[in-house]
Amino acid sequence: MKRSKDFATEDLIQFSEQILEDVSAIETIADTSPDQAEETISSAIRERFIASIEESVETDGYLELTISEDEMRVEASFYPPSEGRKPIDLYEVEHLLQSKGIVYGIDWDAIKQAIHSCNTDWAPITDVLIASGATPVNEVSEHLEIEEKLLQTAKNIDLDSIRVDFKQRSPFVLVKKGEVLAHRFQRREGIQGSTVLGKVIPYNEEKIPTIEPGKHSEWEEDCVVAGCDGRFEYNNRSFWVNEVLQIESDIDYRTGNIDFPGDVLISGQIKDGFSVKSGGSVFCNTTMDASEVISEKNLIVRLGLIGRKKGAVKVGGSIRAKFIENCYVEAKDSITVDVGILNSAVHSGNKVELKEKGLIIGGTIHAQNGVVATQLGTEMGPKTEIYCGTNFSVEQKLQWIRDKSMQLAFKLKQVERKLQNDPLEKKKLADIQQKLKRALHTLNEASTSLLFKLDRNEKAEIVVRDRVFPGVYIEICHVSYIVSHSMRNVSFHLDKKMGKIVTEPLSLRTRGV
Amino acid sequence: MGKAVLVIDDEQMILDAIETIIEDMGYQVTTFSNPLDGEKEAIKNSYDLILIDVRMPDRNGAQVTEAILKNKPDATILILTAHPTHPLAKRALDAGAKALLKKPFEISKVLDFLQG
Repeated sequence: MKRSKDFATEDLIQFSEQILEDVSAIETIADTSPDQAEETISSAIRERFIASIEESVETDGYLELTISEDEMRVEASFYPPSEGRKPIDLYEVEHLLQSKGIVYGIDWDAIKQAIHSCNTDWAPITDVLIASGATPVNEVSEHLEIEEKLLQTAKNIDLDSIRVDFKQRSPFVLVKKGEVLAHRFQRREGIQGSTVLGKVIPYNEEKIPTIEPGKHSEWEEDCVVAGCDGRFEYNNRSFWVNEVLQIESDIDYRTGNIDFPGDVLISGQIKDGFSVKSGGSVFCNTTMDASEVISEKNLIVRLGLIGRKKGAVKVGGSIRAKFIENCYVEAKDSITVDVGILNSAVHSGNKVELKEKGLIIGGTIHAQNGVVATQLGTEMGPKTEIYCGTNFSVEQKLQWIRDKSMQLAFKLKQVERKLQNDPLEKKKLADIQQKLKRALHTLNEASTSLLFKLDRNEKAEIVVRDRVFPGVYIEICHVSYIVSHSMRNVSFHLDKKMGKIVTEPLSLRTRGV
Repeated sequence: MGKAVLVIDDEQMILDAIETIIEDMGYQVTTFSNPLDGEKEAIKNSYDLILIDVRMPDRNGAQVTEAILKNKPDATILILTAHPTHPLAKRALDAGAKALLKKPFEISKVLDFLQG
């Protein structure tokens, strides 16, 4: 409030001068007689008192100005005149503004309005903004701005909703190929500003940090778009799309369920009830407690794959793990395991191959093109079943059809029995009988056509490098074999002519597989 | 004339259901809930495929299989069992049964042996 202080100083000076004048009057009468002096003083005081009363009672209309400290605002208070005195007019305001040096941003409409109200309503109009300075507009160089929604780190939560599924929340910003990541903003010229006193305020050059499009980002006219599906990431220098989602922590409430279009690299555990879905491959640096893992490509687990209740691992490519335990696993391609497969249901559209010390103990293995292991079953261990030579996915469909066919067949028999005993409902029962028969026939036709898709591999072979124990069940192209005695270094294959499975000692060539 | 299938199982419900399904596929199905009667029928007449339940009272599936194959060594027999590693299932396989069918039965294997 520098300017306001100046006014106070002026008032102070004016008032001080008045006092000094009064004092000087006393000094001039110092040499007169006391009575004369008293009279002079008394008279002076009386005159001033009367003058002040007259002054306070009868004044012209006037206004007071306040200039803000930064000289960007002028506020005025308008006061009406005493009765019979001159009201404030525009000329007077103009003159006052000129005398104070106010030349910029004067709001004449506001002034006219205030004068009119003051003189018409005969009431003071205070604190009217009558002039404003202009702030400068900074010069901005051409730059990229990241889309606002991508700068969020987590999906918005609807707090009004009754339930929030935190498993569905994700701290990762996922983008689709072609999605706009950033916009280009053209260079903006700077504009000078001005104070109400006409003082020029220069503009500045605004420094916007330059941010460059990085990996998997492409220019498309004035935008930068994602070059692939993936995770959007940025720092203060660049932004990019990462095809690999790297998770250093566990998969839990902090990460939510993972559903990522590219590869997923997991350093922690998958907590119970959380799922991982990947449009690429999944890499796990430790043991994977698999609740639900779905990968369109491969799954590579540095340590073991351990199943949970109702958990399932389904992979569009191959699986590589140190061990698999109590797990339901499906892979369209091969499954390679270092140490062992224990009590698991393992399905492969190609081969299941165990490395040098690899054991298969308990559970079922379904491998279309064969199995290679060092040991199958144990002396007293759980039942181990190996199925080879057919496509597991088609077998599963046929199994589903079998279950439905059995249900239909049971119902059909019940209806037929009822038809014999309840002639009153004959028409209804006959209708339902026909429907059941048609449904059963449809399923049987489906079975027949699926049979051609079993994609038999009659050359599928089960190779045991060391020992296979009694009780292990082996099936190749639907032909069964139960191991009756312990055998070593043996392979099992289908003798098509004999229609049975035969064993052969491993040749030196196959022993090294 | 469709191929002929003989089914021997002491559980009448299962027997009925299998009969209904296989008949609908266009095969002739004969069923026996008494294993001994079924065994006699298999020896007396020719069937393209014989399904035998492994666990039946009086005479188990392994014994029936052994008896049939003794008289008709070329018969194609599939064993119905809930547990593929059951000792009787093993005995039936050792006797010459071609495959085990997980109960109630497996469409793919039945069709495979009938069409193959």
